[in-house]
Amino acid sequence: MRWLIGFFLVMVPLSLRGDSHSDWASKIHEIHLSNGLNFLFYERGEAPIFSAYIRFRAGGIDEPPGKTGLAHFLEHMAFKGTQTLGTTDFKKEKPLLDEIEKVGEELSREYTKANAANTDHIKELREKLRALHKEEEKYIVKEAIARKMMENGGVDLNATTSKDMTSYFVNLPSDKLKFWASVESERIFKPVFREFYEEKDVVLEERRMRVDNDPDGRLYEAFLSTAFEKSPYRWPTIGSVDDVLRLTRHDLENFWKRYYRPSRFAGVLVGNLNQKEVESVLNQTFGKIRFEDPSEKSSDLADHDQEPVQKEERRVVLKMAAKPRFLMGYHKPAVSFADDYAFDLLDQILGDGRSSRLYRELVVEKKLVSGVGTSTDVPGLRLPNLYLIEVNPLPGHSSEEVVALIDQEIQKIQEGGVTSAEFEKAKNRLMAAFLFKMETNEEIASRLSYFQTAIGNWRYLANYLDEINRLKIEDVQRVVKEYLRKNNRTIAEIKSSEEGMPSP
Amino acid sequence: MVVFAGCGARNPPFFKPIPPVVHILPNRLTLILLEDHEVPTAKFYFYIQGGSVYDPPGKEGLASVAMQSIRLGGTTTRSPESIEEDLEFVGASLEMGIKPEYAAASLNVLKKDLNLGLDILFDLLKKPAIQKNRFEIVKAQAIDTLERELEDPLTLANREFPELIYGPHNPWGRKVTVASLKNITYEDVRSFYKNFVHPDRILLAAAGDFSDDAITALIHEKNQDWNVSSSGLPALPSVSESFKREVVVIPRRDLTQSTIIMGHLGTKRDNPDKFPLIVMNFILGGGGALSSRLGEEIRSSAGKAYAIWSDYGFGKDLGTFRAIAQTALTNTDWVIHRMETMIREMTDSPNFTQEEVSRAKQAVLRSLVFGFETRFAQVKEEARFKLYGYPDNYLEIFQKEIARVSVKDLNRVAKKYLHPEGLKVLIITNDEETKHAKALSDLTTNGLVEVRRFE
Repeated sequence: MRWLIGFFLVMVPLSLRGDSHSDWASKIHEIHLSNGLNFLFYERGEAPIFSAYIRFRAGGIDEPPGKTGLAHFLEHMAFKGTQTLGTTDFKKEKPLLDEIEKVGEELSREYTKANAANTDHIKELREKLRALHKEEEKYIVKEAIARKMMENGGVDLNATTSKDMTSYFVNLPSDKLKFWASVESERIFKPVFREFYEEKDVVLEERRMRVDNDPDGRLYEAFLSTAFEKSPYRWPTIGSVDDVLRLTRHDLENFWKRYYRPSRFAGVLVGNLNQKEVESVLNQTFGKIRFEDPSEKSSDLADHDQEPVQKEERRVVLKMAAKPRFLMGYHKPAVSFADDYAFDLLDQILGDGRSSRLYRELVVEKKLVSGVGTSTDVPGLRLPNLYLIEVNPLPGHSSEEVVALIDQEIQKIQEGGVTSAEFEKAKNRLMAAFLFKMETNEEIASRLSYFQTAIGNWRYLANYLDEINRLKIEDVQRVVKEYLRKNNRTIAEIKSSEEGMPSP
Repeated sequence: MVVFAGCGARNPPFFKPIPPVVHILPNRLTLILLEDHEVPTAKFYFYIQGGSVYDPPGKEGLASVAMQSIRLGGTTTRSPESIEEDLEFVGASLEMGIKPEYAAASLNVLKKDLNLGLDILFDLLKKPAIQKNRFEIVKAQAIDTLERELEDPLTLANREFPELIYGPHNPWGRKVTVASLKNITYEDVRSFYKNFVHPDRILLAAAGDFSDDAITALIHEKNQDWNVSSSGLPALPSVSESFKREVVVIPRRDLTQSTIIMGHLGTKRDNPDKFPLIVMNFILGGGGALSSRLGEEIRSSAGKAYAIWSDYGFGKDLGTFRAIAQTALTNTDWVIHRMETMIREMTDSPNFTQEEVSRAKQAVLRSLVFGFETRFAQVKEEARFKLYGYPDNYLEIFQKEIARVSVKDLNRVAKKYLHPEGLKVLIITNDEETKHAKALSDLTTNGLVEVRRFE
């Protein structure tokens, strides 16, 4: 019973644990498969479980114009199965899939006509799709991927799409490594995008839930489309309704073909697994996938529209039946190493935590707001992005009043810098937070794969604390002077309307 | 104790977690701890028996405001500013909050700052100053936060539904409102502290880079001068079992999607039928939007929902069974009808298959091992079991009972514990779509549809 020897775990005596945590990075193994797919493996943990994270450097910003929502839609479709999983007879299903796509493309052409579209024809085509789908359903096994994962003890199976990347993750018991690798390699790299037009309805429902029916969602969309003029960061990840309605399965396949390949891929396994077995299993599954032109390394820098420098403050106001709030975003460069660390420190000092400048001033001293927060790398970091301040004013205090006070606090730092106590505190907090995020397989797998995907270098994480320590107190003042300027910012605001009707 | 990472397979891999150490201090505080030397940190979680269910009528939200006021109001020897400064200077976090059955305090701290972190936390629990101006800030924040939270239809639905199930006068059904928050006085908060924060109500879960002996001695020391003992918690009126059909519509003109919650009373957490009910609910809607009957039919097949699930609640008293969905306005009637029909079918003609039941049991059992991912997760869970009065070997019992659930058991509990005729249905929707209002009246046997304006 090979697996018994592999997985029977006797509790490791305490004296053997407690090796210095600071050399955790040296325990990470890079596994390079012959077809170009690269994995990281980190063996750790007591419980016989592991976390698997797969990310593609392919997100909203990589979508062709007029096809927003494509990356996110693909994420949904990656759960629909393969030629063997999710179907009882692919031979019979395939001609139906082809027929469905023909009708779907005609429907898309009709939607493209916008106001000139023939609504009767649209209705007719949708009926046709429904009928074809009903035929196809005879051969479909619903949600086969999700079911299989759950049956095998999968926990927190999910996927996410952002402007920068698409991610697939799950936690499983240790004896399910082979199962995970064979299912995952197939469904990601040999997918069948069945039920594409039905899933559109689900995606549109999701949009309703996340955006249309959520004041914060609507504000965020307006904020990004105002702060960015040319950058693809200005479009919502979930896509506009018009774009999503026009998408075809063909569009999806093109996107998948272009971006779901080795040069864009990062796979990370963290947990109680055996390295030799990990290597062997990966070679037998992911390693057997063939890619066209495996040495291709598609550059993405040239593909994206450059955002012109912002010359003056921009504002957008939404009137709706909701409490007032606003977002303030300042442009900053794409991940640039010196500035990014400084922004992480600035975050701690300016708006993160109850001893931060904005919290003390706005919440405690002046009592103008019920909450204030800051964040960096909004909505991503592959392209020039934003430093964000978000505020919930208390009743009776206008956004103008609050913005004026925030400006004062920013000016104080521009003129006088930050204190050495604040600087020290910020570094301590980042270091502590770093350690607290190394507790579970999933957290570690997530962070390693994130940096490997976003900047092509997971060692950013290993070097992070050293880089923070290398910063000088002047660096914080420098980024505030350089980037937190009025003519570099966008303010998006919700003002409460009296009638209670949403604005168009 | 052995946790099976798999069940039903011939020889499942298994895992023997270390049992935690339990100490009961002289002041009756219970300490449950495990050493964990992987990372130089320590985490603590305090369960303080009581909870928001004990809020006095008309002052719902008191326990929450009180715990925040204790947290942010300083101590007799430390100012509020110095507490934030001291904690944040070392990157420690200390939070307090409230749940229906307990108040909670948590501390995350680097190993080197253990003493400081515990000092501040026990100071806050033993000698809080609860400065009045901080109370005012907390109260204003609570009101503003509540108003913002209620913009979200799902949050609104989650808070209105208990009132529908338990009635507005039973503690499990009372809800926090702006009015009830405004009624809370400074004296109320001080009384709360006096009556509820006692060491003999506390279960403290701790795991981290410390030694058993050292941390136990440290916590003993912090508790030496804390000798308040409590009388029992006030009695709660019991929930009487009734299953009467009711439909409530809360109109919101800004919505393009409806939020639907339907359900009825559940059962108690000490009911042995809980185990088959867990499996039943997993099959109905607990398996998630992608792998449950509700999800498969309403999301996957019909594409009419993104979020859909069910949960079967086991409470100190009778819990709540709920099925929840969010769907476009035009689909509202169809989704309500489908959900109701599926619940009725599950009790009238369940058709559980052996395969379905095995799959559900496997999923539930295999996921248990994740409760041991970290030692802190393990002790926190053990402390919660003690809070609920479960026996020490509860997890073993749980595994055993789930493993032996049969199709026959499921048929039995589905008949006994699902009440389609007594479903309470809450719909948050755009009432300008008048056809909804008409169609909804078909749902009730006695034509009772209450349209409740939400202010």
